[in-house]
Amino acid sequence: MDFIQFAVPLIPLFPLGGALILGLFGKKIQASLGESLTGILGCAAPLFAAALAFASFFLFLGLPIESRLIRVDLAPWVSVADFQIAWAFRYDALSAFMLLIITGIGSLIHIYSLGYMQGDRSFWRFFSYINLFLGAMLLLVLGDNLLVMFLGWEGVGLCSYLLIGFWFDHTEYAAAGKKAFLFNRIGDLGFLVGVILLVLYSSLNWDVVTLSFSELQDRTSVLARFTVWQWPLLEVVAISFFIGAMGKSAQFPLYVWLPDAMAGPTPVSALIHAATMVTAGVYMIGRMFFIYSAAPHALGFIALIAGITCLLAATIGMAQHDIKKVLAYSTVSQLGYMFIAMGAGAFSYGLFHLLTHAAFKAALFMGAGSVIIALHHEQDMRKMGGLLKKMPITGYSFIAATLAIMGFPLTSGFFSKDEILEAAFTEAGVGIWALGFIAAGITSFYMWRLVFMTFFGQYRGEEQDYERCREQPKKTVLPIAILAAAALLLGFLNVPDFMGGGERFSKYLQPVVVNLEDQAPPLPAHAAMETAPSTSTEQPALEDHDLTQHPGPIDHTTLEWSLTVATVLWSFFTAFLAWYFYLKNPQAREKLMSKASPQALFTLLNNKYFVDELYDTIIVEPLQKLYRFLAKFDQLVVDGMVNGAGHLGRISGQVVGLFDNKIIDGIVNEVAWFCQLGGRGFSLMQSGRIQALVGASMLLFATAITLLILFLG
Amino acid sequence: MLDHIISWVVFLPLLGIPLVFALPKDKGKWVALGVTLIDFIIAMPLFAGFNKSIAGISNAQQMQFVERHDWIPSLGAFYYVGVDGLSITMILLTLLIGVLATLASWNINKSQRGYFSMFLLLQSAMLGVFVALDLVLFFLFWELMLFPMYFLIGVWGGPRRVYAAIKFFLFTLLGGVGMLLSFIAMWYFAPGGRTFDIIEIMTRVAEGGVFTGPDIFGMPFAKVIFVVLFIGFAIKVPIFPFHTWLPDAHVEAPTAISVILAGVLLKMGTYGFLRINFPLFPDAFEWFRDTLVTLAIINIIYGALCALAQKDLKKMVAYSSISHMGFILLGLAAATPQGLNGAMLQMFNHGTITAMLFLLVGVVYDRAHHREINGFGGLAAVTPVYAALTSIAFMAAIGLPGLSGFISEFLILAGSFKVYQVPTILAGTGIILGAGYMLWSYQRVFFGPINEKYKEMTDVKLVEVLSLAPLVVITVYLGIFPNSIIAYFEVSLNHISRLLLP
Amino acid sequence: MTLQAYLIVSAVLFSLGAVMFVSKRNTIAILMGVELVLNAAALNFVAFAYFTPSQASQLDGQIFAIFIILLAAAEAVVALGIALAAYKAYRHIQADQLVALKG
Repeated sequence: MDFIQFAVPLIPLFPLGGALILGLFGKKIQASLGESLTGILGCAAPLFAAALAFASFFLFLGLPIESRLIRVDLAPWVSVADFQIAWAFRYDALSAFMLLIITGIGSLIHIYSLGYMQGDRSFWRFFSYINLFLGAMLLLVLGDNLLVMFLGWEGVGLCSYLLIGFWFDHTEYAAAGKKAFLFNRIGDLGFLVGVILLVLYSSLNWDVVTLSFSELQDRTSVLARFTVWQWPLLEVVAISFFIGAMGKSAQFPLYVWLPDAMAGPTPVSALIHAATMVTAGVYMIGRMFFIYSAAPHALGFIALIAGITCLLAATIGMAQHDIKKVLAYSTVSQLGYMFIAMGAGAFSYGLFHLLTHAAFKAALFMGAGSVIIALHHEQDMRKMGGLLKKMPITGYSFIAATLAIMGFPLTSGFFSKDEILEAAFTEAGVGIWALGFIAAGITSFYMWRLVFMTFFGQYRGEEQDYERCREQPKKTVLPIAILAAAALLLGFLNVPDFMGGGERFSKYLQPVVVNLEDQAPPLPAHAAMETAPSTSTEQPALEDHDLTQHPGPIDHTTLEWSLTVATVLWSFFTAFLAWYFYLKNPQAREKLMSKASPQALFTLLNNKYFVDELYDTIIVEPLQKLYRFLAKFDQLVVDGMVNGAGHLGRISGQVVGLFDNKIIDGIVNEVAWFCQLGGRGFSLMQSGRIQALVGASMLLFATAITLLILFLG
Repeated sequence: MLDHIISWVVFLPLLGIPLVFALPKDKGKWVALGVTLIDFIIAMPLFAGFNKSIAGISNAQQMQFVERHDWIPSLGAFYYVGVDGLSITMILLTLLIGVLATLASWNINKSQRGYFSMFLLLQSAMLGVFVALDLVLFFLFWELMLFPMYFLIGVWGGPRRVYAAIKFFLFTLLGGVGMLLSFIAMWYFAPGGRTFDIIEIMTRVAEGGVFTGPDIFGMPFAKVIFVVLFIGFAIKVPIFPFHTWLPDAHVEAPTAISVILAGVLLKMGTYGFLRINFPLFPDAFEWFRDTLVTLAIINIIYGALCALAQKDLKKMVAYSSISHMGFILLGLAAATPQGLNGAMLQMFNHGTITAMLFLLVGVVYDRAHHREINGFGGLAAVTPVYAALTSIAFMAAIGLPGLSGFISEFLILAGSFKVYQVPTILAGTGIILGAGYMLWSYQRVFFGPINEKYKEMTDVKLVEVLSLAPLVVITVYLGIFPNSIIAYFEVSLNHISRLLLP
Repeated sequence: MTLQAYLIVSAVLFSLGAVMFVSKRNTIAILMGVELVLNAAALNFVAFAYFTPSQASQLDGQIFAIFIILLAAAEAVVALGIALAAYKAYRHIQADQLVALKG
């Protein structure tokens, strides 16, 4: 307990400190001490953080459930009137688990980067940025209140911007970074509106607003009674926050930045744009499940958006040639799954998929990165093939991760995706389930297409490249292998009930995140106030029990099994299609593609449904026209009026001046002439002799005094 | 000395002027640096001894470090100075910007004596505005500042300096005339007897007194005076449509003067709102609020959109300044404690952040002798330190959490949302646009392939780092511990909030 | 001694000074005349001060005398400076010939 108190603030401080040191002195360190030492320095921070995170976690597991919430209050941050925000961290089941993912995968990817970034001129800068990212991500997860979370939320966005544009001498990379930042900003506005709504309605009812999650949870039932803009407050808040998540976690329609973000170095894609940052939205919803539980419409909205995203991205993924682009769209699609779970109120399933996805997608990205480096920055899959023989460790790890993502039975993706689809079917509706179900098959198709095009068949690039292609050094492939193993095995943490697993992960999370189906039916407001998170642990088990015995048209277990089997069969079928078209019989594919309609479809998908172009026409161009117009307006009209007033002043001045010259001056001149006449007379007095003047004045003075005395005295 | 500390702080720069002339020509900058630094140091007891728990504003007993002497007895004008939470923050900002702007003037070659004497006069006048508690004294300092500014822009500025200087002068003078007339009218019709004493009038207003005078052009007296005063201050802020002097003045002014202009001068407008305009006319404020919000939103969005269209880096920063000042107006219009405190914090933060931006623009102008956003490229590889400093400044301007700009913008938005929901969300879009123009120009200047012309550009020099580093530190520090500055003014601003929203 | 005695002395001094001032040609001599006039005035002040009944205003006259002495010194400096400058320019200091100001 004390150790955790002590360790938690240090966990983000290590990477932040590392970032600061490398940022300030990294260039000198790299110049004088060399790349390897810089790398060690860069990896030290995440490794220390990981050590602390794991140590804290094991201590944490030893704690009784009631005391599994540790708050670390460091200092006040902003306090104005009733608004009292603290620098505070919160260590509970959810953040503990997120810390493991972030520091664990983060450390592996740091080590992987040692090899990947070898020889880069700005090696130090990379580690500085990625350390900073890790620090910000840890702040996001550890934040005890919404504002600290938002700090991390924006911080990771900044780092993502910096890292996407890491090779900034390529204009398009820098532009991709900017695009990511801007789309995130649009989402952040939603987040901010959510925060501000909570501030407002909290301050209307309570004397102090700290925005801490415990406080919000306690106040949820009261807040639920308000309406804003004729909508229930919590629905609006929930949707606002979800808009934030749409930006950060790349949901439709704000997903377009993520594929472009692949411009960054591959470790960045693995860490930020697959495993951690993009899942922040999922974490955020999990963190605030109590608000979402009270907002059924928002949940429906989330499920719908997520379903659309899931399917849309998966279909685009089928038609990409760039290996990282495929994985990027796959990430978007998988994020869609997580949000389907969130939308279905199955928060712990979404978070579990976050975990498994982090493992397999990081492995996939790192594998892809390994291939890209081996082929000297070749990313086009049409120029790959047969690499399994050359790069066995990368290849087999990649295949293992692919098995996980397709949902091969007993791999991690199998359990996590299956739970999500089951929850979608029962909670969110058949429509959402169908979107997810179709996407599952497509996932399997594009992933196997990727595997077959890259690792099997004939090499399709330059012959000498193939000859020179080598398996990467240990520090690069080892992290991949570890993550691939994790991708295969992690699923057993949360084996569904109907398979006899007992959902250990969901149970573990239950003190802080309770799935909708496990929650007690909505209580009257005053009673709900008393339902603190720690006391609700006993209840759900009972509820669960009730639900399974509920007599329905179809037996629950049968339904679950049949959904599972259907998904697996469908995935196998599409995997078979991929094998047939891309490995066994490419001619069949070419024949199919030569027909008009598949070709048109392919073009549509390959161009991502022309969404970017659409944004350009409906948003960017009108905005450009608007601001150019306004700048002209400012220059010509507003400033024109000012200058016009100035000119008017000058013209009227000239008119007055003419009048002045001819008439007034005329009169003046006459007067002057008269004076001149008099002046000539007087000027005779000006002899220039000073004594004459003084004598005269004395005389005058004496006369005056004499007269005065004579007449007045 | 402690009894007259405010007078010392205000007039010390003036005392420096003879020294500038007494010493050899090229020592002017050292004198200015010495004077501004010493001024900062002797002001330390002011900050250390300041009692943060009393409000001031409408309470003469709670004003601190007060000096009050007869000045023009026939007018009833006093030499009456003092500080409360409102002014002390601005004094801190002015002193700070003064030192940094001196450093930024290090390369001034053209008649240094003239430049630095004007500079010191400006410094005194600005400090005077922030401590004056008598309408006549306030007006005196207000107009006094105009004169050195006119010369600083008009003599040491860029190619169109004369146009810009005259524009600035006329605009401000126009506001000043209205202000003078209003002050006289306020003196004449002050509730409970004629006086120029701001605090005294405010006490009376707080106790229910109102300005009752004849209707002017069929409008109630108080409203007309309010609007005339408002325009006088609005020109300084500047508020649309009185803003067009700002881009010109900024573009033409030398770097240090742009820094002062954006860092301090613009705040005088909003300071005037808080010190005089709003709390003296609470009813008129209530009546005017909706208009004020509209103007605030126009400032935010219009400024941001105009910034997007600029091709000159300095002009872009100037328009961004207009946009950011709109946030202050939004906070003021809301008049809630969070809104006002956020606005005040934004006044300070905008002062530091925009000062940083102008200093940075000055660095690149110094090297390349132009500021075309599209005329650079790839500078991040050539001048990495400069790029890093610029990125911090830009991120602060965007309002990235962890840097100071975020706290103030957040407080303003949180404060104004209570009163104005839709405008607040519109203001939020201003933040997105802000990110747009900042990142867009950053990318053009620093990213992409290296522009061959500037392959040999030197990175920031020591004197430039010296002027930038304190601002960077402050920006970061206030992002993490904003309370260290909020504590100075919170009580005062909460008090104003109570005056405005009874 | 009565006040009148002082006044007579002072009047004599003044007259001498005034005559000297008007009649002398040499600028230095004119200056000496001015000094006499000033001292006459100073003597008057002191005398009046001394014979004033009120203690408080006694000081006034004496302060004025001091002022006059100071003034005389300053004036002498300036005037001699002018004389010197005039000498440099014209090689003489005859007042009746220095008529550049003639209108």
